[in-house]
Parts: sequence; structure tokens; C-alpha cells
Amino acid sequence: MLRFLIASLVIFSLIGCSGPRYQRGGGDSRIDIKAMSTGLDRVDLERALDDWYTEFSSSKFLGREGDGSQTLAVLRIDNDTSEHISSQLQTLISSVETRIVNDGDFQVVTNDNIAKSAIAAEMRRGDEVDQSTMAELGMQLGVQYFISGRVGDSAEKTADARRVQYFLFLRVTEVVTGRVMFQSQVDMTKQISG
Amino acid sequence: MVSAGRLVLVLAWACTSCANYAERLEPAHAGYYGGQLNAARTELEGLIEAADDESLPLLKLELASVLQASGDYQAAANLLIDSDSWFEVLDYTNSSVDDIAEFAFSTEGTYRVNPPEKVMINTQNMINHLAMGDTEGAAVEARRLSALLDRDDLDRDELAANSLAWGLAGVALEARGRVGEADEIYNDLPDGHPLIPSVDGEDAGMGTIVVVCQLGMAPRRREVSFIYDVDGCPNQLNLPVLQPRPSSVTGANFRLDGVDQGQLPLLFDLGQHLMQRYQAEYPLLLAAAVTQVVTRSFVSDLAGSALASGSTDNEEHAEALGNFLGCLFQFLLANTLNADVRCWSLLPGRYHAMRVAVEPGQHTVELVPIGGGKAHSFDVEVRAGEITLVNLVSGPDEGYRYLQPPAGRNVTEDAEMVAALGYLAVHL
Repeated sequence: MLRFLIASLVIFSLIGCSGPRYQRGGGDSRIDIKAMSTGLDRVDLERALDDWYTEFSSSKFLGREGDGSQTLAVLRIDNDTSEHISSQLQTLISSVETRIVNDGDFQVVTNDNIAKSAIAAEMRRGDEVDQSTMAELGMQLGVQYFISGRVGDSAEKTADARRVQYFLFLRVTEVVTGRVMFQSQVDMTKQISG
Repeated sequence: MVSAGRLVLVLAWACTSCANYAERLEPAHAGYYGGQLNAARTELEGLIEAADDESLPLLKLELASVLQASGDYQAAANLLIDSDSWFEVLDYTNSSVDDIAEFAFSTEGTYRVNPPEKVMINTQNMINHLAMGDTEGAAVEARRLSALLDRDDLDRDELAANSLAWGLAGVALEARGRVGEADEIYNDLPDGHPLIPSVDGEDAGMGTIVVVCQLGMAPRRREVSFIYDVDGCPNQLNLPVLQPRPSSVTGANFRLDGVDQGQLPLLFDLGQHLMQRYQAEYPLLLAAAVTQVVTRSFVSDLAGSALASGSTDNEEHAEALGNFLGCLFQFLLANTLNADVRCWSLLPGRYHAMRVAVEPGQHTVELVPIGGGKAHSFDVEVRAGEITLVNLVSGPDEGYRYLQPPAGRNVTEDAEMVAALGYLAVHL
């Protein structure tokens, strides 16, 4: 009986001491790989960027214009999903900028958020977009091309699983003409079950 | 052999040891409706800190209501986003008696929201995002609402009853520039709905103000002990009962830049909607409660027999004692099966709303509740082609009053009980 009591006390004291376990990604890479929700995480964004950039790097547009003399701005990626992922999309914009800056194919304009917002607002008018206003804003911002995009999703659910399929569209538009110079789509799927 | 006295003491202790959800939230209610929002917030944060996983998301909904009423829209939105993914929907009106018995009489399991509450999570968060000018977040909430329909988590009747939610979804998508998506929703609404843009009133150069007034208090669940006689033994049924909370505020007048715009139209009477749903649920709740009584009768019979046989050798005496202890146990076991009275209890009773087209620039919106509360004035900046939302929650101005839970009664002969037994006869 005494042994049982002592063993119980030891077990309870161990349980009592154990709190939440915090881990650092650098020490164990599996922490970053595990999906925790149906939202987008760092691994999803890195994969999306890799896929998009692979296509962009081998595009005719980059081969023709990517000599380092042209200017480009990454404007915005619209969230057209049913998930709150705006901060992740801001991260993706920064990652696209970083990749293009480091490769040196274009000069990237990042420091005029007012003009960028004005272009984004104009683009939101959809079919009613005024191309002369766009060209003027492009001149003001000092860019020949801008990258913009949107993420859509298709969310489905069964009794024990929820799946969200994301579709990321990113395209390069010539500011003066409004012509789409390059466009590609990246698909990502997240599922939570059990 | 454990003595009968000890067992009775243990059961009696188990019956009295825990306050239910409604009782634990009473101090937060006193703070919120008494206008002491910081006190209500502190109270709820304390409950959240001590909460188990099962009640945590629901407490976050309650805290989100307090934060929204305080004007802290970002914090309220974050809480609703965080909670939303945790909730499964349980609709008592089309669930099996077994499901109802599992969830309506268990205060331990994960809380499941009912369809109106699920819709209100997205609706309240559209209000939060629009009030802080975050059109992207509002559009996400509108799509989440729409996705509920696509996934059959919600039937169209629920949204037809709540034209505030669907109207705000249109506003959110319109504000985001998704005119096509917004029009699809507006086409679902009846002509002349106060949130549909008027054809001639909103030129490209105009802006829009959407006014939302949240008045009164939604009914809340309370535990009521009913009596139901089985084989001569009175059984206690602890049922979750929806209790209306009266409010003296009947509507709100709207003035724009000093010009009277009339009374805000009522878009959704949440209180009445919840009460109507409860009327439909009530016979099923009774049926589920009866299934619990049958189980308890069986347990108490066994307990009574066991105790009697262990207490005396006299057969007649043992039988009488067994019957007595059986009834006693039935009562005590009934007490341990508490009704689940969890619900989103800080929601308002009614939503009044409308939109007006205005010239871009500064405007003053005055909202004056009718029958109580306080007048509020808001200075807003409206830009061309954009939508600005003004939100008033009158709850903290309406005053706190403690409401006793409704009284119980003997329901053995009630028409609803007869209907419940008829239902069980067919379905069990």
C-alpha cells in the first residue's frame, strides 16, 4: 500500500510540473513542416513562391525584359478566400520582392506606398479602370511593370475533415498599356481531419 | 460494504459543488449591462484564464461582445476569428433525440453552437471589420457565411430569417469592390431591403454610410427543474430553458447632420427568432430528458436493491427501504445530470440597420434609442465610392437587472410531454 502511495505521489508530481512545451524551429525542422490549420503557413508560402518563380524565371517576358534596367513594383495580392490570410499575403509580397531584388533581373520599387495604394485602388475598379490614370500613376511611381494577384479558394467539409484548396494567380502587367505580360497559377491544398 | 448514509452524502456533495455557466457569467452581465465595460472585460478574462477547453471558445465570444461594445473592434475581430473554427453546429430542431440527450444534458463536452449563433459569429465580425474600415476582413466573413450554405451547415431558411446577416454580406463584398458577388446576394434579398444600394441614390461620386443599432438582450438559457412522474416516483428533469430578457428600448431614431432620417428599420429580431426555435425544440428536449429518466430509474432501482439487501435481513423492511432509497437516488442522480445552459449570452435582442448615400466628407450620425438607453453621436469621414459603417450597441446603457430562472412545474400531463412521449414511441 505504501509503495502504491509513493508511486502515485511521484506520478502526480511529474504531471503537476509539466506545463506547455515550447520548441524552436531551428532546433527541430519538423516543427515548421507540420500543418497546424487550413490557413497558409511559411512552408505553403515558400512552395508557392518557388513554383511561381520557377515559371517566371523561364518565361519569355523575363528573357526579353529582365536585363536589370527595367523597373517593377509588387503591388498587392487580393484575398478572395474565406480564410483570414492577409498577413500571410503581405509576407508573400515581401518574399517576391526579395527574390527579384536578389536575382537582379529588375529594379524593384518598394518605397512609395501612397502611389502603390492609388494604383491598387484604381485597379479595384475592374472594368472601369481608367488606363490614362494608371499610366500617370505608373510614371509617378517610376515603374514600367507591376506584379499583382489574387488568391481564391474552394473549401469543403465532411463529417471528419475540412479541406481548403487555394489558387494563387500572379501576373505582370505593363503600366502604360495595361497589357498582361506574364501570368501563372499556383495551387495549394490544406486539410484538417480527425 | 459502503453505508447508505455515506453514499447519499457523496451524491449530495456532487449535486451542489458547481455553479452553472449562467451563474458564473452573472458578474460579467452585471458589469456589461451596468455600463462597466472594463469590469465585464476583467471578469471574462478571469473566466477565460480558468476555463477548460470545452467552454473557452464560447467565453471568447462573450468577451468579443464586450470588446465590440467598447469600440475595440480589432481585438473583438481577433477573438471571433480564433473561436469560429472551433465550433460545430448542432441544430436541435433536426437532430436525433440521442444527439440532443448527449449535448443538452452534458455540461462537460465541447459546446456546439446552434445555427443562429453560428450566423451571428460571422455577422458580428462583418460589423467589426467594416467598423474599422477593413473591407478585406469583412469580405472574408461574408464568404464564410456563404460557405456555410455551400457545405450544408446551414439551411437557407436560417438566412432568410436573418436578412441582416445576408444584407451585411452584400455590403461587405460591395465595400471590397466585389460588385458581382455582392449583386448575387442583393438579388436574394427582398426588394426595398434597407441594405441594398438604391439605383438612383449612389452615383460614383457619392459615399455610403451604413448604420447598425444593436438593441436589447437576446434570451439566455437557464436551468429549470421540472417534475415528471414515472411509476409513482416523481422524477426531476433539469431542462435548459430559454428565458426572454425584457428591454424597454423599442427602436432607435437616426439623424444625419442634424436632419431627422426617421426610425431605423428592424432587420432582425434575434430574440424572437431564438424563442420560435426553442418552441420547436422543446418537445424534443423533453423527449431527450425522458430517455435520461429511464436510465436513471434503472440505476436507482439497482442502487436501492443493493443498499436494502446490505442493510437488513428483514425482507419486507428491505423492500420498503429499497423503494425509498430508489426514489431518493432518482432525485439525487437527476440533480447530477445538469442541463447545458451554455449559450452566447451577451448578444443583443434586435438589430436595426439601414444605408444612406452621402456626399464625400465629414458627417455627423446621431442615434437615439427609443424608450431607454442613451443618445450617441459619431463624427465620420466618408470617401467617394466607399462604405463607412457606424455601430451602436445599447446593452451597456440599458441597465443591469438580475432575472430569477423561470419556475419549474409538474409536466407529466403537459401537451408537450404527451407529444414527446408520442415522438419516443415512434422513434425508439
